[in-house]
Amino acid sequence: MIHALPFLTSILTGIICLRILFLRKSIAPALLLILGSSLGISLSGLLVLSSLLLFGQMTPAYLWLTHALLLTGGIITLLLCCPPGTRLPLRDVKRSDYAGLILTGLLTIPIISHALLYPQGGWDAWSCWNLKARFIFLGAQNWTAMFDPLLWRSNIAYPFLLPAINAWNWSIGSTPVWISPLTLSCLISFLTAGTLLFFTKKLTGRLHSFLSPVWLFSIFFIVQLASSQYSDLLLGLYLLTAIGSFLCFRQSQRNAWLFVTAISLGLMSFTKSEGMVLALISAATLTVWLGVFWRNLLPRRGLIFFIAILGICLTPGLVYQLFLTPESLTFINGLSSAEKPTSLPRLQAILVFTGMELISPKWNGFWLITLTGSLLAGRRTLRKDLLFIPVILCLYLVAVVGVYWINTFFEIVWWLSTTLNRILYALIPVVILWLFLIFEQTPDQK
Amino acid sequence: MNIFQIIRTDIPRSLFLLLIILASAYGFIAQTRTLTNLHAKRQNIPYTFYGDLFTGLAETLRNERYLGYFTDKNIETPLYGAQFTQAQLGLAPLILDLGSTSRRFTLFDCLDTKACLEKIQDIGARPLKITKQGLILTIKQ
Repeated sequence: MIHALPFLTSILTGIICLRILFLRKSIAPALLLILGSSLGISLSGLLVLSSLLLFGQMTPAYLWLTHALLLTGGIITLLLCCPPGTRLPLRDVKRSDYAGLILTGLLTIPIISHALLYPQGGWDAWSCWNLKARFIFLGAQNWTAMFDPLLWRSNIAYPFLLPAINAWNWSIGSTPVWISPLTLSCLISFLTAGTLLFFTKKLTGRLHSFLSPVWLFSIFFIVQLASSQYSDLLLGLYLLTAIGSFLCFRQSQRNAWLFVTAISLGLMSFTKSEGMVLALISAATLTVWLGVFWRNLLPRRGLIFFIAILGICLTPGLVYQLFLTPESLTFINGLSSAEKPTSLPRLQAILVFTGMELISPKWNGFWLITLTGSLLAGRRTLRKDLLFIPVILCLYLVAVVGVYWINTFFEIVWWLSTTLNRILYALIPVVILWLFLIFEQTPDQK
Repeated sequence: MNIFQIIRTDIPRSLFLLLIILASAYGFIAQTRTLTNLHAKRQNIPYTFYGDLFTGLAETLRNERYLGYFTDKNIETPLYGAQFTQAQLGLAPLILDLGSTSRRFTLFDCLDTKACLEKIQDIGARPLKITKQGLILTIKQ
């Protein structure tokens, strides 16, 4: 039970920080719990990164102290700035919130059941994410050895938010216990289900919002990935949070939602290299939407402020990717390489494989239902207020295909068979949110 | 607008929701069956993690940064690739130098123990620890 303490500390810190962000009037309690927890776990990861930068190693005393300071500061701020009774919106909890949380918990049971079969997670958990976590936790000042070229099989160039969170969760003891990454994996999946449900419910106001996470976790392949301890889970969660928060801003015009969007994109950029690409594409698209299509929702000064916040949130990830990351030893530029040039058949292989992947039975018909849903929605599929979601997803997929085509280091069919499904997984929660929203009336019609 | 109104007024959405309900129901039935089978199999074949074999070496190798790792297994095959990856995880923050016998300590993880012992003699090392599973930790003399 002692290993639950870092988790609870992160969750509590995240909830209080988010409550302060929405200081004047709190958001719905269920959303506060779910989004606060999502932000809290990564806030702890960021504190581990700050410890590595400040002290050259992970320092548990510093981490516990900063968490204590954040918690104390947060509680004092709430006590000073919020009238009694509004600090934590416990009175506003509705029956549907309890029902949603119980449903989300129930959906996590198969994930826990599967995770217990493979307590060390999937291949990349051993070879990359948990390995980096061990270097951070056990390596002391030698943690940078995780960038050693001898470890080229372990994606040494990837950012390491997930390993940092795992290292924090181990900080209560002296050994890296397997239960913490397993719990984190299940927690992220729980939070993804909760975020999807409560965003869909907030944005549609419909009872059938409850179907959204049910559909997600009815797919056994997703249950397998959800218990894999991969960073793709975090990427999927923060993409969903960023897009959902942006839509909440559209609905309520509360600027704090834009903060949550920017923070989520910043966190996403530190999950994986793909997360950085997706964060940049999302940031650019959302800025265009705010500046051009939703001009009336945000004054010019507000837009500049949003861009500045985005810049601040994305800068650490960009600095890491551009200047600090070790050179990737698994990259050959096929456009300039004479030994391993890229080719048209490689592109054809990528496109054919992607098509086959989308109709693979392992997805339980998800992509075919998505196609059917968008056809059934007809012109609503292209409604302007939601069009930014398919735009972001399409641009990202073009970028992914581009990387598969240009980087000729790996044999393409093997590479696609081991990585494409995870890339698609991270997009699914947002795709479900979009599908549930396109059938609704546009904000103008309301 | 309640669900009955949606069914009456928005047939495309009703069809879409029906599809999701059917797909989810099928998914949960299939998932339950698969998980039950997996748990039944796990009762016969308990979970093993190759990296656990190496945890006992941590104390001996506490001050090392690198460890030579010699194996006659083809780590390009999934089984042996997984074993190597799990060994690296079990020994981290030590870095395994695959194929190298020039480090002070080298771990021999061989299918053919006799050939392995010959190799140890060739490089002028002596066995320091031999595990029940046949892993040999050597030190250069």
